[in-house]
Amino acid sequence: MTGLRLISALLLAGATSANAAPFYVVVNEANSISSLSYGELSDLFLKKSSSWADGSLVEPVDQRESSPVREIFTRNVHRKSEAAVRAFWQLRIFSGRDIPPPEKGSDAEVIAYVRNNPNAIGYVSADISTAGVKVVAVHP
Amino acid sequence: MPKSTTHWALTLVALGSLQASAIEIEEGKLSLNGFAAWAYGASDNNDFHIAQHSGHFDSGEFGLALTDRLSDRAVVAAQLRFAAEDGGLFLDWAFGEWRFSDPIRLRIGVIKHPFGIFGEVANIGTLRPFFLFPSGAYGLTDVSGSGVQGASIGGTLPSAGGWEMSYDLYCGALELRVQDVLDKVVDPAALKPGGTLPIETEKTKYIAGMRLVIATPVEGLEARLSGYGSPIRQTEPERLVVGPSLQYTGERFSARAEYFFAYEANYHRAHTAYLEAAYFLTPHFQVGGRAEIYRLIFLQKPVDSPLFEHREIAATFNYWFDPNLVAKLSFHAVDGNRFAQPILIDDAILNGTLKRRTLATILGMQFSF
Repeated sequence: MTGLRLISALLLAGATSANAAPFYVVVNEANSISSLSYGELSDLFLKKSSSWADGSLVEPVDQRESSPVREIFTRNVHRKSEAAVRAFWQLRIFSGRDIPPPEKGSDAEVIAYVRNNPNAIGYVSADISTAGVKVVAVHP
Repeated sequence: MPKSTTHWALTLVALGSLQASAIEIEEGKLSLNGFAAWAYGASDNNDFHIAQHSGHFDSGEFGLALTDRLSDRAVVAAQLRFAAEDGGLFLDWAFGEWRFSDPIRLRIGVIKHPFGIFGEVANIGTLRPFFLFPSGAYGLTDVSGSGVQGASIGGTLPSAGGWEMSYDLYCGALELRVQDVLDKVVDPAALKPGGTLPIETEKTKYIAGMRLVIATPVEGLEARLSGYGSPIRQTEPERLVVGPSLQYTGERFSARAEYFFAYEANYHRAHTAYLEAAYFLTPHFQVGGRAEIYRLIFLQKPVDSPLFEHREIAATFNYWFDPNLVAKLSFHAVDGNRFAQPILIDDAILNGTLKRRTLATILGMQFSF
């Protein structure tokens, strides 16, 4: 199973090599943000930074741990292993500090969540349609 | 095996077979998380935590943490824990939080003690390599508290150049669970046949404290400075606890070291330190080692006793079925009786049969979701 995930991740990374990042970061079309660095993205998804420029609450949405795109996102953006991110959230949860973003089971569910939530931000595989949401440029 | 213990074991096995994940409701606005632990412990001599001379099975505990985001800025959270051995239900924390901004979050209520590396998460076994936390810093001493009843301000400052700092400032009353060995040494007249060393809950009112956490540009390396003191009103004896922590957590290797100094005016001072490291030989199999030292000093007159000392070397062999479910087998060699004593400690002191050295074995399972 782990091997299958790894192969999927490699295929996904290869298929999207023409993009700046091997995934799309998406926000609601009403959001004025146009680009984010990996560091800023990491802070948003780890809830170290919780507000958009207009003061509204950022609502990140994550992919399930079994998702290949999450593995790529975690490695590229957080520069951590899945285990390290999980430990980070355990520490946050059981010290009563925060809870992780909700998780969605597919790219389509992430797109739907972002389309319906003005403050949401998510990431999806770079080979799917992003109609109805806005793709944000990301850079290391 | 007692009926309650059988139920604990069956519940752990059943829960352990489930996919470990939090229960999310309303798109992550409400979250329910939990943790549990159970272990068998045995020792060749004195009782050391759950490791008893006759073998000990009744050490299960289970907790649930509930967090609800009422609005963009308001959060309420609570954690309840049932400990079979302690025979009760404990409110670990219950507070309301108002988020002014990322650097400023105000909490009021019962707050888990922000102290050292494990002060807030001492019951979460999946966050550390050993089944037991270090005794001197997080055990039954007056170093780390079980909870602060009061208020705190904390937050995370914007990161710069890979450096990141978060902080907590708190005040209120601090609850401590302690075993006070001093009286056993400095007041021998109080010893009586059959006397034990009870666990007492002490409350120090009007404390103020802080913790700084600095994450370095080296991924996984962070330093902490923790401390608190009293009184901020003159109704309690002067107390001060302070110490640094250093932790590295990598994918396979992790290490941490902490030192704390505790002082109570005209009564005692204590030093405690430990160093532990762990390494994943495979994705599932982890080995670890720990060395710990604790020393208590009575301030009113020079007294020496093994009850004031603790030196320990320990090794653990863990199998992680999943990052949220782990079985641990640990061996502990202890010198000193600060944390390892016979149940009938007064008899041992009166008869001169107190033994300094203890070998303990603990086999257990811990999980969280």
